[in-house]
Amino acid sequence: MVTPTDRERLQDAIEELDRASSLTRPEVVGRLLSRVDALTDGVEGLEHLLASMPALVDAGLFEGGPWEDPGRLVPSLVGGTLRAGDRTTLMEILSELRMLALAQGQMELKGFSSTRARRFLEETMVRNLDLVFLEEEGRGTDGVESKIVVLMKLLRDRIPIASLKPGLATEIALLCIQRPIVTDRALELLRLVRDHIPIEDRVVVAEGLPDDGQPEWEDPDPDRRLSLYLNAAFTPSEAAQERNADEYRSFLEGADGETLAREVEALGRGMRETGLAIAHHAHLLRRVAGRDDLLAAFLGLSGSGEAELRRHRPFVRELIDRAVQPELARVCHGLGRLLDRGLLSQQPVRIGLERFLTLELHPEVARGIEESRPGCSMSPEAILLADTINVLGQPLGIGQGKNPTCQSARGISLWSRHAPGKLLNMIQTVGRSFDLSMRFEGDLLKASDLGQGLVRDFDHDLDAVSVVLVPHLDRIYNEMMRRAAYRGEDPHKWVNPAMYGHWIPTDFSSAYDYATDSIQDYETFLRTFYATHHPAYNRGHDLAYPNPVGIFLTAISGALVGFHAISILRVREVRGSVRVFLYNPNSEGRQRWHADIRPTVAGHGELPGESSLPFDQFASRLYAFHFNPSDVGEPDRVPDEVLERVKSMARPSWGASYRWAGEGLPGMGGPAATPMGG
Amino acid sequence: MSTPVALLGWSLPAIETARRMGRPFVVVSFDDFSGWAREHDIPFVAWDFNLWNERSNALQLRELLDEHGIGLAVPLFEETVEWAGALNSLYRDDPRLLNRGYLFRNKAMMKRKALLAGFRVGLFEEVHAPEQVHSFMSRLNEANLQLEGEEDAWVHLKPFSAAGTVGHKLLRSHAAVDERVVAEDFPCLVESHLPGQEFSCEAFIHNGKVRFLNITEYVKLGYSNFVPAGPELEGHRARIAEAVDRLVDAFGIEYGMIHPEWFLTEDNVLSFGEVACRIPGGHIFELIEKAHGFDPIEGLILCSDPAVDEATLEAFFPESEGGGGSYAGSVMVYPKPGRIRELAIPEALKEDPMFESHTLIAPEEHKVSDTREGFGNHYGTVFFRGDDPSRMRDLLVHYQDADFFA
Repeated sequence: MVTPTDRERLQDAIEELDRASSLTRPEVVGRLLSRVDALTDGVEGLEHLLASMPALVDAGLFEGGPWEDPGRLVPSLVGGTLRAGDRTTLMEILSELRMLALAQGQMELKGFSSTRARRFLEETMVRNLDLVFLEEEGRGTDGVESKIVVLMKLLRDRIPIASLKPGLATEIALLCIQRPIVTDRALELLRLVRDHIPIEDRVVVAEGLPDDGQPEWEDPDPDRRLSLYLNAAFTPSEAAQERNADEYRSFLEGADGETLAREVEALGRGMRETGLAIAHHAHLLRRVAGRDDLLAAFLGLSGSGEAELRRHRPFVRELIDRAVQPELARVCHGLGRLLDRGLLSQQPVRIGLERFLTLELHPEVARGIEESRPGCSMSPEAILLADTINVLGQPLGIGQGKNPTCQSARGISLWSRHAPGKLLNMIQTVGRSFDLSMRFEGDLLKASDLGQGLVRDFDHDLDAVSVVLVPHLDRIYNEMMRRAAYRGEDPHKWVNPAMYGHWIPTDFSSAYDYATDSIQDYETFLRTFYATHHPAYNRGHDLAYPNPVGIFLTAISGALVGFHAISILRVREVRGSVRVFLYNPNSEGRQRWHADIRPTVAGHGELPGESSLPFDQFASRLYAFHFNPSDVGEPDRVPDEVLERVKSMARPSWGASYRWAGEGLPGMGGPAATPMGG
Repeated sequence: MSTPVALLGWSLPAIETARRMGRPFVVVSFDDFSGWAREHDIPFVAWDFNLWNERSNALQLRELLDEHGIGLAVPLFEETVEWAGALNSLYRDDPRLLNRGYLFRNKAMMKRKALLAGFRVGLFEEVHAPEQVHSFMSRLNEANLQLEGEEDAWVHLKPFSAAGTVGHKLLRSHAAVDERVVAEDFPCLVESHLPGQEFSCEAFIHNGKVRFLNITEYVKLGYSNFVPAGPELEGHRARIAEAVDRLVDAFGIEYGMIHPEWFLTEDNVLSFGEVACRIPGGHIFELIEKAHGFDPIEGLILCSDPAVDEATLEAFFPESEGGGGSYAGSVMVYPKPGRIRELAIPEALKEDPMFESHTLIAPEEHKVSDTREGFGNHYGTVFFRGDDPSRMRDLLVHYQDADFFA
């Protein structure tokens, strides 16, 4: 109910806000929000706020705050802000109402069209689908969630759910195409779609993912695109559709060869196309473990993968028996990729994995794994084995979750690719002893002797290998950084080779000068990077190993927000433009690096788990990289205009936080941060 | 062009008002604010009001202000009152203005002055040690003809020069004196407890005449009050106005605003509590603005300026001093001792037709100590508005004890 008094009071508050200058606005807005509070408890109140939105905006409601410019808001962050509670929640609700007012043409803002506002709201709903269906999920009865339910009611009334389908299909496709090890988010999103959005099931033509720059979500029919994923995740075959996991297992027990072949064909295809597996997949895999042909077909093995299977048949069966359980079916996909990589034929890997079969976990390690999969009845040993298979099979599917541990996640990914034996050894060491040691410049660093690392509240929503290793790696990394500090150069120069392995090239170039806390000789830095990494200037050679490099992360506004660790995997020309292909441990390869610098995960020949950016854009975010002096090509041939273009992207953005050598005063004041962490 | 004014003390609403009035001004406050002032283009002179010596005194400050052409000083906070007195003494060539500044800053001196002017005040004494507090309480007990086993007389202990309830301790027994009085309290003032309904006045004075008299009804000292006072208290307006006039005469106040606190007993005897010469606490100025519809800071600046003419004042202040039937009240929220995790605004409050707004914000989780002296820090304020003074009183009483945190 909105009473006349409510209207009058809101009007008074708007007038008060209108009179306030920037000096007292925060205080006045705070008091206005205390009135908005009651209005956001019901749709009628929201409607009233929506109608008042032009006046609220004119009075300066959003001025001077993080919501000021709608062009800088990010749909994927809306959910977190809505849940934050109190004034933050109220401001975020008002921000959505402004978008709605813009979308409906109730008001206009220069440079922000109604179409753009509408698209923002659609993307917000897609990216926060859990919030859209809070009520249907039996939640949102009190507190902040009840306000979110009310907001979503209004939004759903104005933006039909059906119009979200194209966006949802793209979101799910982009999530899956990165082939993350942890697929819970994609599966949860699909479950919400299945439970709450009517989708017309369309026959999906088997088409795979042709690497022709035309991603499959270009299919104009969102129902068909969604069906592909829904079928893979929930109804991979007629038999699976009709039976729950247990019934399906019984069904498989009695099934003949022909039936099994049919199921293998159906479930295998869905898994290959989406990277998703459910309990049914695990039952089927266990059932066909004894049949090489069916196993190879189900896992979608390449020729070399099939050879690997035949060569290590008994061990593969042993692994399936131990690690493949319906509760952690994602291993079905991982196992196939492990075989395709031919890793079992590497002796350190096979022996390392064999030792897992008798591994007894330290109680602390077991507890950590159990915490990461609450309610799972599998033994911690089996969970760890399954995710070890996943980590070896999908090195680019490893993510850091919400932890600031990009360095550690990057390490696990690098080792999986180039030192899998070493990785297995580390997992076992920590698994048994809940401790890890590494050498640094002649000293042995023991994690248990060291202070805290970067992480405080460890997010356990990770694969079990990361759950086990990251807390130890994080401490060791931190200690190495501490020891290498104050040498007048970026500590990563010494830390990266010690941490990751001695195949990291010995020379190192950084745009940031520790001794003078400034950007030094940026041009030479860029020339060296082009001359070592760009095929036009490095005599055309390729990267032998991934290069662990540091980048500046900047906000949508361009301001420096921090530093991040990624790996350059390869550099390729795609349709006339040279792109850097990279691994981002951020669990989301689409992480924006700047308003206009948005890595893509598909459409340019990216392999699953890779992101890519045009070379120049990438160079403009880079602050440090390793290189081999003998690999430096022709730095002087890099054209000045290319460097100017890169500089013009860097200077006004993160560059504003630093003093540039030879240019006197800092751009924007404030002490710049020292590169570290991620 | 009007005389450029020095605003003594950092107050964003005051800066905003001065800007809106289009009056040239400079803010005088601690150096901590200089960065902010520069950033927001606020004319600023850094000054440490707590430092007074041969190189930091009103003559030096005046020199700094001369660069801005200042001819008038307005005190906003307690610690700036004698500085304003000193500056205005210089500007108006009247040394007594400084002494008057001191008068407001020393509660013992102010009470003696009131006593001499014929006001009823409590029994008071300046004390330097805990034994003197005991003796004072014993003498009060004696005067009250206390019998064995009867309660001790209540004694209020107050610093000489702090604002409002800062450092105020109500001592109800000799035991309380032992428990709560500490060496740092001295020297200070002790006084007997005055019974009766407590209220304050905000009198805007120009050329020795009260131009507007607001009466603020205290529901609970340090917690809640509303403007204008309810009909019971407003019914005594003539008596109160007469007392304020007498106070203004006795104290020799010509310009500015004073904020005296009074007690009215059931038999209609008015006692003088104390008087301040700065922006009152308890959000009283905000309530005045809501209830009377004028900006009291503007009123303060106008009344502080001898050059402002009658017509301007006449036009500025509303006709009716008792308000137009709309009441504005506030209650300051103090958290209950214990652990605090989040803000939990009672539903009934949000839905109350008299609820206007609040300034409570979600706290970081923390523990609230139960050993508070004075009133401690309040966590925010709840504002009410409506036309029913008795309901206002009930709401303020109710929400003074409500729990806003979980």
